[in-house]
This record gives sequence, C-alpha cells and structure tokens, in this order.
Amino acid sequence: MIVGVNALIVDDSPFARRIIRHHLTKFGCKVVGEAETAAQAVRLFGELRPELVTLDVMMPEIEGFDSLRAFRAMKQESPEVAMLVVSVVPFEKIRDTFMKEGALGYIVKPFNQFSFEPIRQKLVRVFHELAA
Amino acid sequence: MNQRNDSPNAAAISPVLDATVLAELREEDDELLRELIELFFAEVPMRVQRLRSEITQRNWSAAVIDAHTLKSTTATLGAMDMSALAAEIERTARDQAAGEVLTTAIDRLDAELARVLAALEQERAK
Repeated sequence: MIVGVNALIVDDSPFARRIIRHHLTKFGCKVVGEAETAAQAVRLFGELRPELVTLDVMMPEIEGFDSLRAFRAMKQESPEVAMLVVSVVPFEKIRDTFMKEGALGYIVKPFNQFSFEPIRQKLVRVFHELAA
Repeated sequence: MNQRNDSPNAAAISPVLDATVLAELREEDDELLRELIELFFAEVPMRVQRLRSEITQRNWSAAVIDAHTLKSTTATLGAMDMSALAAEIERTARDQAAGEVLTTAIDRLDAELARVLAALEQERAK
C-alpha cells in the first residue's frame, strides 16, 4: 500500500479512467482528479499538484496539447512528478519516447489482472517512505 | 479469433464475450464489473458512431484514435472479436487506405457491437 500519494488520471475514455482509478485506489493512492484531454490535464495539474499522473499516450490533440506536449509541460512544472504512461501492447516506439522523456513506467492496455502489478512495485519503490 | 474463449464454461456463457475475462473482473470486484458494463453502454456505441463519421469524412487521425480506444475497451470486457475488428480498422485507417474497405469494416463493427451489447445485457441482469 502507498498511502497519501495524490494522483491525477488522464484518459479520454471514462471506461479506462474507471479501471485505473480502481487500481490506484487499491494501491492506497488518492485520486484527486481526472482529465479527459491533455489540455485539461495540464490545467488540473497546475491546480492539484499531484505526485503521480497516469497519462494515456493516444489522445486527440485539443487546444494545442497532445499527450507528449502535456507530459513535457507537467514534467517541466514539477520534475519530480511520477508519470506513468498508458499504452497498448504493440506500441513500443511511442512508449519508448515517453520513457526517454522521464516516465517512471507504463501500464499496458487492454487492462487485465496483470496490467497493474509491475506498476504497484515501482510505486512502492518510488514512494517507499509512504509504503505501508 | 477469440483465443481466450476456449473452455467449455466460457463457450456456454456467451460466444461473443470471453467468459474468462468477465470472471476475472468479477473476481476482482463485482461492483467494478457492473460499473464497467454501464460505462461500456455509455461510451462504446457513441464512439462507434463517431468512428463511422470520421471514416466518411476521411479524418484518418481521429479514426485511428477512436479505433485504438475501441480495441482496448472491448478487449477489457472480453469482446475479443469486436476488439479484432477495431484493430483492423485502426491499421487500415493508419495506412489511410481506401474508404470503401473501411465502410465495410465499420458495418461489421456495428453488427458485432449489437451482439456485444445483447450479451452484456445478459451480464447486467445477473
């Protein structure tokens, strides 16, 4: 369990957000916000200052922000934020781009019972002082 | 096409949905599964409709994103045939291939959606 980590979920699918919320809450995180566009994510990030963000890499560009631009904006605003990218299995290239930009890890879609376990372990390592 | 639906129990529940996937979700959290089914009804038909108009308008980048999301949303609830159809549309739209191929594909996706919604309706009633 990682208690006290505030998280922001960024995904244009309410269905996907619900699953991510379920797992983050199960880990002990507090989901403080959800964004359905990359631009909304950047705005909410500034307001909520979460320590953890999950970001879907395939979102339409709206108001000049796509996922990568939003990722960079959030990282620039708070370099220590833990960013997790969400991507579909065969998209290693896109995933690698985000990993090189400083993502902590990735969650693979479609979600199944194994999708979140590697992330839980990483979060426990990063937020070890908060892990119970 | 449906690789995971290979047990007798799975086949007995529904040929449209992979029962193993649904059982895993139910085991994880029954309430979560119920909510996901409701979200599926709210989101997926709208996204299929939007995908159809994106294909008609040859808006390939938007079509790729919607097909991509449909691919994973449907697979998450075990609708593997529908997921494969969405993946096919995503690939074709990515290559900006002939609209006629995609029109046929979206018709197949719509037909499969009707089957999936009917199967989920049964799950809802449980």
